[in-house]
Amino acid sequence: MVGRLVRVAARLRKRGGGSAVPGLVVNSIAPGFLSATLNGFRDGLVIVTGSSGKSTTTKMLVAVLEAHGMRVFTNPSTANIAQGITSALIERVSLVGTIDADIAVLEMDEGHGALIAQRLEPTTVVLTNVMTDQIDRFENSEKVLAMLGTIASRASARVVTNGDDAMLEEFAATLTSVTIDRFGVSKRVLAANPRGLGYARQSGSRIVAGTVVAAVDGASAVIDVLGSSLTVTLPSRGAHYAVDAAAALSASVGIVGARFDAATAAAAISAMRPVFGRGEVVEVRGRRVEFVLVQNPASFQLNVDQLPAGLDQVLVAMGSDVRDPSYLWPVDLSGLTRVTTVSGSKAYEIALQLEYQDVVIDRIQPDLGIAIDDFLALPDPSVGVKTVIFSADCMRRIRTHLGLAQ
Amino acid sequence: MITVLCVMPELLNVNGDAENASVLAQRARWAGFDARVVTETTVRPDLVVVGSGVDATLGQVASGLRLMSNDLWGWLADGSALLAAGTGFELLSAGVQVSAAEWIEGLALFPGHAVSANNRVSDDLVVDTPFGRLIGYENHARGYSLPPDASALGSVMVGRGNDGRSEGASSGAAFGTHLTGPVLAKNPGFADFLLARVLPGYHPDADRTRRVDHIAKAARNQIAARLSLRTE
Ligand SMILES: [Zn+2]
Repeated sequence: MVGRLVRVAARLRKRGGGSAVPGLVVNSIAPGFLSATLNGFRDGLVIVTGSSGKSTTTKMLVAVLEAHGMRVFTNPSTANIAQGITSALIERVSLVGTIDADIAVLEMDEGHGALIAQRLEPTTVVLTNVMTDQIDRFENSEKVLAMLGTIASRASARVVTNGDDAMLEEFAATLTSVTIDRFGVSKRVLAANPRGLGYARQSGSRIVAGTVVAAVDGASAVIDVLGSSLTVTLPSRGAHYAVDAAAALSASVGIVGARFDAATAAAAISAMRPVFGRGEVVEVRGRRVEFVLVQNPASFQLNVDQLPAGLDQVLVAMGSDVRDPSYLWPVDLSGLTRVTTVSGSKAYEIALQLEYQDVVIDRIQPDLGIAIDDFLALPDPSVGVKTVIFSADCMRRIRTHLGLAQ
Repeated sequence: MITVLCVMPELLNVNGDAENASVLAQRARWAGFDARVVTETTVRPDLVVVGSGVDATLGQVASGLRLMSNDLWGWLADGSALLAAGTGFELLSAGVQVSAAEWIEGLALFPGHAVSANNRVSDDLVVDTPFGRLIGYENHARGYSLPPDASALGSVMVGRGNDGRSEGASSGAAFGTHLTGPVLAKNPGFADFLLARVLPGYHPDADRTRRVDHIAKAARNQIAARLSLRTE
């Protein structure tokens, strides 16, 4: 059955090429294709979900599993999860109808994930965190938790969860028939992040057993896994990346089992390259530029707090994807001190917040193209590199404008 | 020195509404006054800001507000001004009809009460008020029933507000609204109205205020143009 559907899919691929279109076609003519294929991997299906950090955690987990010799199917981040995954599957299907992977590791948005979860039989579900900041879409953290719970309750073997997140801890206490593996940070790491880690509710105490981020220094972290202290180089600086690494390590210990090798895992994570918008420094028009993607108030705060002090060339761009920028106001931006340019379709709104938080603004230029051209044309900064902080919509527009690959 | 009390910001800052307290304090500073924002006080604050939370904490917030009830009534009688937004506004009314079966008693500082509605609105809200046209955002799942003889904050030009016609409520120097977020930053005329009410000699004409208000005007005009309303 699956084989036949997969062969149909392979023929569609030959006709249709990449993109979400073949995914759409397959899902309408063979609605069972997606779940049947995902539930059919020899070593099972892993779903990574939560408010924030899913993408990094998924990539890290895939890297660790591949370093242990597993063949992994994974999905690109897309808006429509079902079509995106189906299209990615079709890309991997051979002409004889087989997929060259032992295990699937999928990143799922909590909203779309909850919709398709009833048809999936994941072996492991990884829960990153619950953050209160997605009110634009999900109204409140209780609703987010309910959606995560719908996905996690499908796990047949193991739920890997954030022990520092009080809401996830309360949920985990209700699970009876699966193994619960926890990751979290040490007292010391929490103390170094006085604003907390951005969770809707922080647990009152640190985890006693599990994978623990013992220390973070810039982009270097010490993580305690199965009794050994691993030194890991993170793709970018910040405690939240260290927590993502702990989540990935915790999940891989359960998946790989007795063959898990700590040094192999640490090397795999350390070899990961920073991602555009998440710490990568890119050379554009002869200038070195760091792009910082802001997806919600918590990531905005964490990212701003991680920036070097005294940056003298910063561009902040907010686009129409942030429907009501009011909800960003609890983020304390005063650490920026000075912003060279404020841009994007919500430029005036974010400029108001910066002004009230005593950040000096040199210029407001809502036109993103003009703003980025002028910003790049400025001589090199005296402190750090040129830094662009943007919402997802502005990231897409800037990449297109600068001719950077999407 | 003026004191702005920001009530339970850990529960009532979901849309950034508690930041109205910092807006009031900053504008007072820019006009040459000392100002501070506190989250608890035993002496009468000049201004009180109550923001909006999620429905899951309605009961918790209601209990917290009940403990402050005598203070709030006393402070308003002695000349403080108050701004409440979203669920904070609802809980300062007679009460909140959460569902047919659930009623949460409020402080009755405002006339009227919150009524359950069958749909959530998350969109622009534009209100015509005695202190000018207010442009902002509403994000709520209830309506508001205002008695015929009571004063609204203003009348709805775009959006739902209380019922598609009137918006918010006012009682003396207390103002309740569905406009969420730092509405005083985008509509500084409203902020200055509140400040002038409690701060004799307040004049918002410092350079800093002028520059910031110019940005606020651009933000309002951008929304007005999108909604095909006249720009300023
Ligand atoms: Zn250009």
